[in-house]
Amino acid sequence: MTIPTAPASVLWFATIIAGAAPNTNHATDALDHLVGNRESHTTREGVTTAYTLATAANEYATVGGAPVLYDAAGNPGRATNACAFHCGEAASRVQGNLIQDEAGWQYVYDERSLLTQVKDDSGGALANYTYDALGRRIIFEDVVAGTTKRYYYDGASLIQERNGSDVLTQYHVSGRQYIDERVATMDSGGDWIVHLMGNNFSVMGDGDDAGAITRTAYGTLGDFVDPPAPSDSGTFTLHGRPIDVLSDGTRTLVLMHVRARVYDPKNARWLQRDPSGYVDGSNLYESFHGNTYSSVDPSGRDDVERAGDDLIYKGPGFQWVFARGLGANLSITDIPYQELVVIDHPNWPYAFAMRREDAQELFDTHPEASDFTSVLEVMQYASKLANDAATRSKIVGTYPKKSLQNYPGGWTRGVELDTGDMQELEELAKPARLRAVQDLEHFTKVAATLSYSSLAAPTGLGGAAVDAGALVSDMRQGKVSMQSGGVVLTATAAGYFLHLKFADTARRGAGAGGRAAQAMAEEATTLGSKELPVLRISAREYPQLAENILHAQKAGHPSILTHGGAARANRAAALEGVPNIRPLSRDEYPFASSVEGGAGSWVGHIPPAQQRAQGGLITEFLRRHNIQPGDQYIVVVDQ
Amino acid sequence: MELFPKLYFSYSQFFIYDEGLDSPACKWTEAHSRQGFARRQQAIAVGTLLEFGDASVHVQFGDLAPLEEFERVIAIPLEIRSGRVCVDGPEEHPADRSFPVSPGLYRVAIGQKVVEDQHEEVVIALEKLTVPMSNSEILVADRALDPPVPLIEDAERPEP
Repeated sequence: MTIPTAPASVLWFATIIAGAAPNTNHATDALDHLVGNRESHTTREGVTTAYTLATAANEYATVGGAPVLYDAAGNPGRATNACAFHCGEAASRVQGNLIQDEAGWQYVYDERSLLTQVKDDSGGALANYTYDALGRRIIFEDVVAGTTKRYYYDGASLIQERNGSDVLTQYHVSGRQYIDERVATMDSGGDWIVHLMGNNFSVMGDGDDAGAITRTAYGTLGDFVDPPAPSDSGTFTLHGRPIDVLSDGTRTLVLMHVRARVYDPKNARWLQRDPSGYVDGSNLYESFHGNTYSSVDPSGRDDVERAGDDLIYKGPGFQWVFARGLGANLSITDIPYQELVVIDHPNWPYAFAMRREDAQELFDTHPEASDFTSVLEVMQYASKLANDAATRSKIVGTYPKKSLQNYPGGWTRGVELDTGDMQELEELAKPARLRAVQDLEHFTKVAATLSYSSLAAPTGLGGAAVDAGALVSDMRQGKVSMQSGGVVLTATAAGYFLHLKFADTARRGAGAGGRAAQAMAEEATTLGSKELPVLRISAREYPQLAENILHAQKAGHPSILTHGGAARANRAAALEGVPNIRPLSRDEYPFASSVEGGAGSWVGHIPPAQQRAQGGLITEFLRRHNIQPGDQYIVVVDQ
Repeated sequence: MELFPKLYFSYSQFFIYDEGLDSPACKWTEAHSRQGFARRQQAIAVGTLLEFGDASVHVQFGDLAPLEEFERVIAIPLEIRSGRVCVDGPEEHPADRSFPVSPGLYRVAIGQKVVEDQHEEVVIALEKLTVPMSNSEILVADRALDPPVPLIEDAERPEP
C-alpha cells in the first residue's frame, strides 16, 4: 500500500498553482505506517523513476534502472538513498553533498560544505559564491551574466546588496516577527517596493510606488512553473528567502541559499546534508518536513515547526519553544532566535527568554530553581530575578504562559550545544562587532560617539537620507519609538548603516501595496513627525507597571495605540489562560481599550495599587486630551 | 433604582463623581489602594473587589442597610455642584450613566459584593448632609483591605 508524501492540503494547493503535482510513493505497512524508503517518484512533468532497495542499510540498489554504487563510508557514487521523502534523484554525492544532479548541474563545496561554485553539465562555471567566517554568503558572482552581488548583514539578516564595485543597489527593510520577514526594498534610484507576504512569510508579490502589484508565481515548495530569468535573481520567495537564477543559455537552474545550506526548489531538496544530523528524522536532505505550510527552516540547519502562534525549535537532544511574540523581541535585541531558549516552569506566570549561555549560567548559579514546588517559591524567585539587575539584563523577554501551556513537562532547558554552535555563538558575541541599537539611550550614546553626520545618508539611496539628528530628537520627544520604526545601527566593512525594522507589518495589504511602500519610504526618511499626545508612565513611581509596558514594547507591541478597542472583549481575550495570582493584578499591554489590545497581548502581574494608578492615569489622559475612538496616542515609559 | 447600562469596571475601580468635572480620575497610592478608595472633593474612585467585570448598580437615597449583605461598605463624602451624579468605569467614557440630585454635600455609602465570576453587585446610597462629613468610614471591611489610620481623605489628580 502506498500513500502520497504531501498532506492533502498541500497537494490541493500545488495542483491549483501548478497543475499536476509531483508524487512520491513509499512503502507502508498494513496500518499505513511509513516503513520504508521511496518506491517511485513522479515529477511534475510526469516522468516516473522507480527505486529498488538492496541492502540492510537501506541503500538503493537501482534508481531508474541504473545501478547505484557506494564508497566505503556508505556515500553513494551514483545515487543516494537519502531522498526518502519528496526530493528527486541525486546522481552523485561526496561527503554527503550533491555534486551532480540528474540534470547535469554540478556543485562544488568548501570544507564547511558551503556551496562555492555551480557548473553546467560540461564543467563550465556558472556561478561562484564566497562566504565570511560566520558562513554568511557575501559574494554571488554570476559568471554567465557577468554580474556580481555583494551582501551585507545585520547579524544574520540581509540588509544591503551592492554590485561588484561596491555601489549600493538594494536596501532591505525587514520586519521583527521573523528573521526573514521582508517588508520593503529600496533600489539605487530611491524607488521603494513593498513585499506582500503570504503564509509563513513567503513573499507572494511586490507593490510599487504607483500601487501596481506584481505577483511572484511559485508552487508550495518554492518551485517555479515558469522558470524565471537570471535577472530575477534576488527575488524573495518561499519563507522570505531570495533565489539565484542561473542559466547555461538554454536551461535555467533556481537555487535558494538558506544560510547553512542551499535549497533546490524544483526538486524540493537540500543540496547538503543537515549539519545538525539526524535531529529531524532519518532523512538528512528532507526539507521542511515535506510541508512548507507547517514548517520553516531559516537557518538551513534546523527544522522549526509551527504550532499555533509558536514555533518549536528542535535541536540535538532537546527542543524549545520559540514564541512568535518573542520574535520581535529577539530582533530588537538583535539576537538570532537560534541562540535563545525559553525558560519555563509549570508554576510560573511567565516564561523567560534568555541566551542559551546565560540560561546555563543562571541554572548554574541558582540550582534551586529546578526544584520549585510551590507558587510561592516561584514568585519569590521571580522577584529575585526582577530585583537582580545582572540577571534581569540577561532576560531578553518574558512571555505569558498561556501560549506555552501546551508544552507541559517542567523546565525547558536548551543547554546542550554542539561545538559548532558554541563557536558560532562566540563569534557572534564578540564585542568588537557593533550589533544593534536597542533603545533610545543606547542609540543616543552611539550617535554621540559616531557623530550624527556619519549616520546620515547611506550613499546611493537616491536622496532618501536619514537625518539622524532629527531622529534622535524625535525619539527623545517620544514621536518615534522602537516600535513604530525600529532602528538598528550596523557596522559592516563598508561603513555604518541604519537598518529599519518594522514591528507592525500586518497593516500592509495587497491592495495598498503602493501606498504602503510610499508610507514606508516616508517613514524611513522622516521616521515620523506626527504630533500625537503622549501618555507617560513613570518608572520611578510605578516600577512594575512601567517594566511590564517596557517589556511589552520591547517584544514588539506598539507604543502608538489607537483608542476605541472593545475593552471588555479585548481584556477577556488577553487574559485567557493567564493565572490570577493574588494579591497581584494582571496587567495587559496594549491596553484593552485600544484597538491593538486583545489576544496576544503582553500580560504581567503587578501590584494592585499600580494597576489602579494606571486606571487613573489612562482615564485622566483620555479625557484631558479628549481622545475619541480612532485617535492615536503614544505610550512612553519615563525611566 | 438600577442604573443602565450595566457598569463595566476595570483597573479595579469605578468612579462616582459630579458630572461637572472633566475628569474623575484620582492618583492612587499604595495607601489609597489599601483603604479601597481615593477621593477628591467632587469625585470618588472606588476600589472594586474584582480586577474587572460587570456590575449591577443600584442607587438609593438614605442610609445603606443591612450592611451584612455586603463584603465591603465604605462611606465617603462627596460634593455635587452640577445637579447630576455620574457612575463610570475607566474605559466607559462617555457612559451616559447619570442621575439627578440636588446640589450639595452628600454621604455616599458604597456597598459591594461579588455575585459571580466577573460580576459584582454595587449599591450606592446617597444621604444629603447639612453638616459636612468629617471623614470617610469603612463600615464593612473585607480581607483585601488594610486601611491606614487615619484614612487618606484626599488624592491628587493624575498627571499622565
